[in-house]
Amino acid sequence: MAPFHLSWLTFGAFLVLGGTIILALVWALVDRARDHGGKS
Amino acid sequence: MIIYVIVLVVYLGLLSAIGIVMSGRSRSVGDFAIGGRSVGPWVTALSFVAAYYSSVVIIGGGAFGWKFGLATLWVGAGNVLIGTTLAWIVLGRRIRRFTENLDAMTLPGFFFGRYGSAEARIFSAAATGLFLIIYNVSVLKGMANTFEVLMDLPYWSGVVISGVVILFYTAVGGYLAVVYTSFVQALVMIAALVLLTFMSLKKVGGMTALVDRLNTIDPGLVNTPGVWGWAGLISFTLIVSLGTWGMPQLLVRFYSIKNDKMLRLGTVIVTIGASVALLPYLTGAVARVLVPELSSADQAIPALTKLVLNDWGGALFLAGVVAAGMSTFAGVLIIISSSMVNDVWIHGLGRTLTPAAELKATRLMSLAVGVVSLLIALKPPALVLVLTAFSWAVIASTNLWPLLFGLYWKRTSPKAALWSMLTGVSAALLWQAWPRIGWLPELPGALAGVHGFVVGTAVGLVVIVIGTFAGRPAPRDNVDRAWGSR
Repeated sequence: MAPFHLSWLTFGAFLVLGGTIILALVWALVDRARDHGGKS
Repeated sequence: MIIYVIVLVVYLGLLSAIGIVMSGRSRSVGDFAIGGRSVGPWVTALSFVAAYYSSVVIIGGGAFGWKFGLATLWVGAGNVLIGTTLAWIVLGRRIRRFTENLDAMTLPGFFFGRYGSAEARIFSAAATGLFLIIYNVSVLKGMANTFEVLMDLPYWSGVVISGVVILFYTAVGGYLAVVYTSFVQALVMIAALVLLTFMSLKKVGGMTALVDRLNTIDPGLVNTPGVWGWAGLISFTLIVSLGTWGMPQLLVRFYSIKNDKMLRLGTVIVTIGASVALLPYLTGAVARVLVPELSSADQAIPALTKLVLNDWGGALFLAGVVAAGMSTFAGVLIIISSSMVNDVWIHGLGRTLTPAAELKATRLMSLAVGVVSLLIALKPPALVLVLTAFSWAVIASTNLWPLLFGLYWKRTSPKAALWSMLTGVSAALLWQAWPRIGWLPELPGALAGVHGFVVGTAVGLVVIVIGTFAGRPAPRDNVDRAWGSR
């Protein structure tokens, strides 16, 4: 059983939210690194 | 009551002041329609959130949470992942670059520049304009209903108060007034949703207690897909998430950001801001425990607000709902007015206007469209109420694939793009009307729960792919200009 007595399938919505925030951060960092790499 | 009045007067006064300040910065149609492509990442990101989540999402999302329970959290998660973060990553940069390369200020203008198709421009402008007005009626209605419940004001006064303030700052200040007021509105909306969620979870005894109490009412309120079923849950999540990829009042934020490097910070801010999407569904589920006896699920959030917040909190929440509705309504007004004047009047009907006359016409058009929406919202005809349920489906079915393919596939055929619009919209409308047409056979249970948006976009996708392989690509000149290689 997932936290708060939820099923994993329902709790998955919170995991997707957390994963999306990480995705946004990683994309921004990769994009910046690519930009800097292109300039050097 | 006096507290509500104080909070609202201060808040509405602040919005009007922003409109007046921004009026000096709207000197051309480019300023009025897309803010002269000068908006920073914080304002772009948070105004996107405010325009995305209207009062319909807050009140309607709460109603879904009340009716279907915690499975609806997936709708919020879909809003953040598909409707926000992926939209920014996949569409943001290309829309920013292509619209600048093509000198396009509207989505129909982009279709014309990218495909060289006047028909696609006119059809997109007409279908989007008509159904955005209908969508705006539902947004105004949502705001007025909240005034009604929380302040005991008659419905018409809610329509008039919110409508007049929006019309003022939009017509005076243009797009910059809309994005800067939306920025303030997003902050108010986020604060209101966080406050309501915190106080209602405290009242119910915490998250675990909420789950346990919902379980005793009906385990289907805790499980996924639960009482809603997969067809309803998936198709609703898709329409309110993937649907944003075709909504011009959201896409315009990409045209207007200062440069495409700002999209990086913007993507992080917008993702965090958009995370509040889960809260209306969660608080709706709390309302199912705390206020189980309601005549209509739409009363879930207002009733919960009255139960768990004091007058100051209730006034903040009302301001938050009004903020959500106003930012959406104002964003839509700008889109319709610039599209009607630029795409339909000037390019469609071949009228010539000086830049000053075009700016004046766009201002007047925003007033006219606003007044029409306001008058319809005062007493919406039954047909309009039916149509509001699938205005998103029609707008997204029109624009989604021609936009996405136009940004990523050079070969995409102009005729295929136009036919994708026509067949997508027709399929979405026919599917939604199906149960009301007596002589058609009844749809089987699983199919009946599928929204017209899913059918419309599936048909539009097939048509644009097959049509592109069968047809001719856009003129080389248009493609080269869009990609910036000429």
